[in-house]
Amino acid sequence: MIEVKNLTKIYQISKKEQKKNKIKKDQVKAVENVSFTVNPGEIYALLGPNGAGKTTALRCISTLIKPTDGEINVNGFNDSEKVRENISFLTNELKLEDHFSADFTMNFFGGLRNMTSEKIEERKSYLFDILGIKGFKNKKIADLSTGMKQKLGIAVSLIHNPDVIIFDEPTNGLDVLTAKIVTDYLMEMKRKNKTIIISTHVMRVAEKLSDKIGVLIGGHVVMEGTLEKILLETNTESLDDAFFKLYEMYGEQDG
Amino acid sequence: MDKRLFVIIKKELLRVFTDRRLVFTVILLPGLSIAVIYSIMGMVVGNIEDERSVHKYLIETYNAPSSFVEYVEESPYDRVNLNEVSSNADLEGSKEKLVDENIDLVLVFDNGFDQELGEYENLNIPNIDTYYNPINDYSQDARGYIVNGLLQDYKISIVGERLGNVEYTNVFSVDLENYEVSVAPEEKLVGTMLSRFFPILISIFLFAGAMGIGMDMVAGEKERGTMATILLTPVKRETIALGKLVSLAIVAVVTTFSSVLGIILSIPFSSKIFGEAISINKMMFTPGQIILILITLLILVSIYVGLIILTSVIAKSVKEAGSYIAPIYMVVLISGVLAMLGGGETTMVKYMIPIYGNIIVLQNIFSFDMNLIYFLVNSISSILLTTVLVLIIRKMFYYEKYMF
Repeated sequence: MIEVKNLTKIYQISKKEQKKNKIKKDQVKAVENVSFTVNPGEIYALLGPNGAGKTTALRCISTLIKPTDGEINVNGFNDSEKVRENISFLTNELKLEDHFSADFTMNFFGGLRNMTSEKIEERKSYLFDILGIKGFKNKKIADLSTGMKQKLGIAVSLIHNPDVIIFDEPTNGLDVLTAKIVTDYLMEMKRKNKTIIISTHVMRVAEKLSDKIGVLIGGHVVMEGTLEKILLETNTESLDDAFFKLYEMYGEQDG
Repeated sequence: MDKRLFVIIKKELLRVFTDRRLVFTVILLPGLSIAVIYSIMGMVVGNIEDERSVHKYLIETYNAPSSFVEYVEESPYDRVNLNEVSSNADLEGSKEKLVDENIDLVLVFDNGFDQELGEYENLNIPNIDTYYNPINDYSQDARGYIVNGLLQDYKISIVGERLGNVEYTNVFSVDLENYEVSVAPEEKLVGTMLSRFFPILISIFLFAGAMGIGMDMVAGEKERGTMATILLTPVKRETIALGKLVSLAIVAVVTTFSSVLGIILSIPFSSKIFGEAISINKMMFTPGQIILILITLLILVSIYVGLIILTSVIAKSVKEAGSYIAPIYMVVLISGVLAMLGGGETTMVKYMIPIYGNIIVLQNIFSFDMNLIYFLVNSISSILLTTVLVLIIRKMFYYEKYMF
């Protein structure tokens, strides 16, 4: 279970960066007073345009960065190391060392998660099979295609069979077949009672996968609920329309 | 101890030692290039010295007295080729020849040199003017050979004639049958020779070897986005930092070993550079010395690795790390040069300065001249610095400003 209460993250901008980017502000509020809860067996989709604060929120939840204010509990833990033991976080920003093979990379991250060799082998076999990695498991990552790297990234993030899965733009850059593997896998994880958050700007993915949707615009959750609730409250017939309507209402203010 | 530390160290070492390009450039190339460069330098220096030792000096003389010409012909100074110039007016021409390196020396004897020699009771002292070109090695050698050798012996032969027997000029002998002039133990002699350049070279090799890999270990990983993936695991940040530090220390030691091996392999050819007294079989250190050397090297490695990783943590990219590390490299080089120049009184303060003090300690150990108090002072100050560096690095690993 993930509980986010009044999450605020302010980035300080150094004088050097202010000068470089020609901005006068010395800080940027990426997210402000964001609150939501995701229960086990639920997929929560954070929906928003670029720069809305989706990745920042997910980075805070995954303990990569510290919130400026607010509280985050993951399976009852707010201690960074405990949280990291329980989560899987996948984002395009996270990369794997090009020099190593898929197999070694899995062993390495399994080792960092204190898993036994037997357990690593067991998880590798399962994930390689389900994600179609077996064929290139001994190839260097440098020689893999973007899709193959993405698959491996997913496998690495799931090596420890976490209870909480956080995927930032999970189908971004994937071909249709690989994207389907990922969405099918997330659905299976949902059935296995895992707590899942995804961030996306692809409405179709949110519609298909999510139980709850949080629309994040300008660092604020401007609407939250099931797809039906959002459609009802925005008086629209599709998530696309609902999103544009909300963006017109809140995005303009933000901009 | 967290066993995940070894997982990180294993990964870092595999990253370096299974990359053929890195193995070649970081490990093999330093040793190989040192062995080749020093061997070539040694052979070139040797050839030049050999050539200089048999070179026949071209000397133009003015008013050379017959006594001198005859003396030269009969003396063992067979590397002299005299050419008498008929007129004193040509002296400027001879000087030009010296500048153009066509001749090696000019000797201008006073007119009536022999006659004045004969009138020595009147205290008439004839003079010889010498001209040479210090830029030309042969000319410089020629002046030494003639002024300090031939003319001195010529002078003695004249005094001998005045005394009626040349043997009377032998007032006393020095070390006639004393074959043990030097009382310094041979190993100390070799150690002193080694201490002149070895500690400085080791210090520079250590830093240079660790620099490239160290910049990539943190700044490179941050730049490529692979660091964040590791930071997402439940491993403590200090364990990750320590893993990087230990791995870099191991790589630095291996590259230094390669460089030192390069020097050792080049010694048969490079003795002209390092001194004839140095040879592999004379490098005999006592177990105590070896322990002290290893402790000092370990401390020096820790300081260097700490400094390199610290700059790597501060920098956002390898390029940025390079710009931060350059001034530190300068400090390492300057410390080496200052230590090599030596001089000044031996004070406790010198030993308290990290890097510079460590190099002096190594020099002292090599030359069997180590004061244990100074060794301890240097070790403590260095360990304190290393501890501060590690604590700062550990703290910085928790700052998102530096890690993302």
